[in-house]
Amino acid sequence: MKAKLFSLLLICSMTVMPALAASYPTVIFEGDVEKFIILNDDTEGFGETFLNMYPGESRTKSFSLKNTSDDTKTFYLNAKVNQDLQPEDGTAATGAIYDITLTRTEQFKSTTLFDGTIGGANADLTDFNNTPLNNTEGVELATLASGESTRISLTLAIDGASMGNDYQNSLGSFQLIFSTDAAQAQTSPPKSTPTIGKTTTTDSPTTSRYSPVSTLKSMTSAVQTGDMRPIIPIFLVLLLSGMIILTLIRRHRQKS
Amino acid sequence: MKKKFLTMGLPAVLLGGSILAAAAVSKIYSEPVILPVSTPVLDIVLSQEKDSLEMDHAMPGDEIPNQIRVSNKGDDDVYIRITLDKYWTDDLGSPQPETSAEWITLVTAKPDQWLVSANETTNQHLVFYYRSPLAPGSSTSNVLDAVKIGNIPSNEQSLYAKSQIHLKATATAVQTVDAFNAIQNEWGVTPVISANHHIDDISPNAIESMQ
Repeated sequence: MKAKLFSLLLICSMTVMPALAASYPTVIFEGDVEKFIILNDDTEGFGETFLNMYPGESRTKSFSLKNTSDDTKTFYLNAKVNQDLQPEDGTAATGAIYDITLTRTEQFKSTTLFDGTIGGANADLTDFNNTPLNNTEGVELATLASGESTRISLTLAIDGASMGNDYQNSLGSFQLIFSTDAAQAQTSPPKSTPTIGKTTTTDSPTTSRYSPVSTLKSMTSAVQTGDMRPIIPIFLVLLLSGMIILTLIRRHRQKS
Repeated sequence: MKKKFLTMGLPAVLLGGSILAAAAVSKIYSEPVILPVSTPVLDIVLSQEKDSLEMDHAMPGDEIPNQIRVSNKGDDDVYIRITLDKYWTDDLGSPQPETSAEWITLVTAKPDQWLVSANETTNQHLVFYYRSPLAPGSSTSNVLDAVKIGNIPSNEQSLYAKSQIHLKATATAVQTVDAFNAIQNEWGVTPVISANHHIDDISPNAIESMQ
């Protein structure tokens, strides 16, 4: 009897658990290499969630965010429209507006981190006061201790009121960029206190009820090095150093 | 001493400052995650046997078969609206204003599957809404199975001699996702949609009815 029970549990652990573990893509900050690694280990990944959306339709993609570095880290997410929705026949871009909401879920409690738009006149994240987020990091998602993870949900809706038949059979894209501070240990880890706060309770994440159709087109984007730190201040300091050194050398030669 | 500081110390201080400045603004960014967004296309086909019915030897009370229906060739459910214009024409196809569309009666075998919008309908122009969402690959029931010639008063029957009945049907479809708003925006009417997604009623949009 015990052997049968053990076998049953073993079978369950081999079938059900991997399926549960593969429910969401995972964004991992790998401390050893100081890089983000994004695992799309489910069949859908990030890629096909928002295909074949109708005006006014809302869909949600959840993902896990995990910190495997030795330090406590604060993570940010920025989003912007990469390519405007454009009909396949090549007519002019349409200036579609997306409503975008970011929520963090912890122990059945969801906290809204951001509620605004991207697209239209502002390609970048814009809150509902029509104020663009001007920081390069975007929205603060979470502060995670070493080994800690959390679940983030991104809900996207194509604005229905501004769309007509022109939007049929259109294709566009938007992009997400995660960021964190470079190796700077934070001695007092703040415990998950999101900044903007509308708190609701949910028993499960919203899931897409839509079966994506494989109409994904090949997308191209500029080569990204992953290092997006601003170089102008560094360049200016180096330039100033060089000028001073040259001046000193010139004076030294004049005197000698 | 001063000279030594200027030649060696100052550049060292500036170099250190630049390193500190770099560290202060240093962020680590992920590769961009590109998420494609696309919209689908609705695809319907209107089937109509004939758009012009010749009345050779037809008498008041006669029925002339003529079926009209819509098929969904797309990938998603849709709601269907059909407008039907009926009028008398002469043998060259020109409308005859002195005749009345009242004497062109539409025969529908399954009228309960269609909702006639009373506010949008006249003797000549009729608006029908198919009550159920139409699944991909399926067709509506016939909105029209036959046309029946009404009991034209005998003193007016000469007006209709050699006339033809002309039927002009137009079909449109809207998405079932966010259907309430889609129907309001595209068709200019306010629907009552039941829990099983059937259209129970149609009324003019609130703003339009106030005008």
